[in-house]
Amino acid sequence: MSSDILTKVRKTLFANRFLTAGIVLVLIDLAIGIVGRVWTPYPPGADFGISQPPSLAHLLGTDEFGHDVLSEMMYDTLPTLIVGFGVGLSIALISTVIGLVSGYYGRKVSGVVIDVLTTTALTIPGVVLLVVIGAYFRTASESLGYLVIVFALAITGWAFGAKQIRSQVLGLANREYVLASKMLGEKWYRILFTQLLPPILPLTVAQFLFGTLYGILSLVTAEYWGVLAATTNNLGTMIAFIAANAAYLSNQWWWILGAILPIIILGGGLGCLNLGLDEFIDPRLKVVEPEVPLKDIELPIDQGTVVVKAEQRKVKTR
Amino acid sequence: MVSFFLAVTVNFLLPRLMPGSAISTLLVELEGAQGGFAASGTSSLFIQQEVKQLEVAFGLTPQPWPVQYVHYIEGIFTGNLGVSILFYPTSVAHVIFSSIGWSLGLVFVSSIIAFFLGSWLGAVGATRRRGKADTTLVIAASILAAVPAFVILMYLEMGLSVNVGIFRISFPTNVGMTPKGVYNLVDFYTLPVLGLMLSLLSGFVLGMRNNMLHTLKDNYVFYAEALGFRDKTVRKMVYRNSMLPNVTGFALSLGLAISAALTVEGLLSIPGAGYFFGLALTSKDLPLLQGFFFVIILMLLISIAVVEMVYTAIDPRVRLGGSQ
Repeated sequence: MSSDILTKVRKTLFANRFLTAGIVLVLIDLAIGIVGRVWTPYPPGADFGISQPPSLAHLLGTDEFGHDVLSEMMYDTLPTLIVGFGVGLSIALISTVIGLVSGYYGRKVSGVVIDVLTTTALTIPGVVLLVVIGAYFRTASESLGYLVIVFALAITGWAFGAKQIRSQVLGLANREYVLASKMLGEKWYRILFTQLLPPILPLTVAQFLFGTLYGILSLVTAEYWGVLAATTNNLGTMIAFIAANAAYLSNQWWWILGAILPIIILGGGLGCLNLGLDEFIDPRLKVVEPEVPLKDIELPIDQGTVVVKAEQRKVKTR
Repeated sequence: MVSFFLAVTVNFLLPRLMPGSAISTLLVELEGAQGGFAASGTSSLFIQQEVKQLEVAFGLTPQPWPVQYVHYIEGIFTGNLGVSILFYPTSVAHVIFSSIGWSLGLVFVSSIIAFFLGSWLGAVGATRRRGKADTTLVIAASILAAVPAFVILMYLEMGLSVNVGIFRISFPTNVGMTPKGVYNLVDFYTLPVLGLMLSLLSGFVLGMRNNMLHTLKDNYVFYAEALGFRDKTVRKMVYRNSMLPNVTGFALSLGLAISAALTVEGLLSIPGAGYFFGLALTSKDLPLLQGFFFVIILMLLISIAVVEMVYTAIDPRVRLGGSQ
């Protein structure tokens, strides 16, 4: 029985190569992060010659402080990923709920309230909120550090997606099938969940993917302007050091690469997930192979026959 | 209007909740610059007095918040946003309006290219789903979405400015409407525009692609195909109907111009609004910060209003209350 479920899960997870590739890439990134917290080729603070290009001893070279870039990268990856995923999940959830409700109710009172909330949230600069909330919570508890960042970014980050989803729901809510179920007296939550939610699920997944990237991006921006505690260790602080030392002026491409390699892997992984999730989100997108192989058709006409080849009859896929 | 006041109020409160006073930050900097100034025993008391005096001068602490708030709202409507601490005695309004043009120009050019290129690429991806072009496009776009614009810019500058020397790397001193001045600007701005464009592009590509994929399977598309419309015509219809989220994205990216320019301008020290916003943020220049918040809110609210208008023009179904 349980093996049945396992098979099912495995089948779903590895339904197509894009999904598989996406999961593998994200897992590799996570592995780098987790391993980096336990083991790095050199201790993150160890000193070597400064600004050495990649070599066998230092696969990603050393930075201007003489630290091994690969070790630093591995050590800094996990917090970055945690912030990214945390922000992605929260944003997907909040923006979908609010987008759905405000789109469905259009101009009615509750819709207006949510509209005002959305607009307000949209206008609060996330980076500043990060500083304020961060400063308040850090005194309360050091260990909450990254949770605070996720919270601040989620609060300020959902509005963009909610607006996108709302605009889509506005278009859907006036469609014939929704109007028909309204007239038939369908409950509002059934309309929301069974008729309006499925078509906007792709946008929800997009919100997660973008939210994750937004989380990482904001973290880097915040670190770049030095608005977070200097004691944190993540890829953002690494990039801030790169910018502060203008590593691009002295051609230290390996240092920059070290700081963004985990981000690139994650981005690639999320891109694959985006490709692979298409057909789960919208079953109409599944590429259906005909069960019976197509045969050539021979049509007799006055003189001879016209042959319609099987490959010409292939189901059109877009 | 309600959200305007709400946002303005939140932004009034935010910087006041920020830890540390701007003037003490400034004094610490001065102290460092003068070296050993703080070493003598009496100086800390002296500094505290100094801070108090300056804070009175800038009207920061002595009044209770409600009084400050009234002043703040008054200032918004009279255009008097106060005096910057960092650039004393320049007024906040002057700092913002002399710099915002650079940011608006940078973001406008970048996002208009990103909007058209991205929508087109997204449509191409959607019509060739899972093809080689589509796969490359989606993965490249996702990577670009994660890498900050200023890191992309670092590599662009490294390759094209530092090593090949095609484009200048620092903001030109001679700019203006003369041919030489315009050439200088183009020479300098090509890479920042390209870098910002690349990082904005991904949103448009993925938004368009994902949305169009699902629209392509709508019944009206099959109907149109069955009626014998040419592929091109059908694709145009779908394209138009899938554009809405991208229009939002475009308007919002303009509204967020200052935030978008923040790091790019910071990296290259472009004297634009993003650069000064960053400075205000790190030095806790309260009046300047508040001025920037106000301008950001104003720009966003305008762009949101424009989006609502454009929606009704593109998609009549969105017209609110139209069904009643």
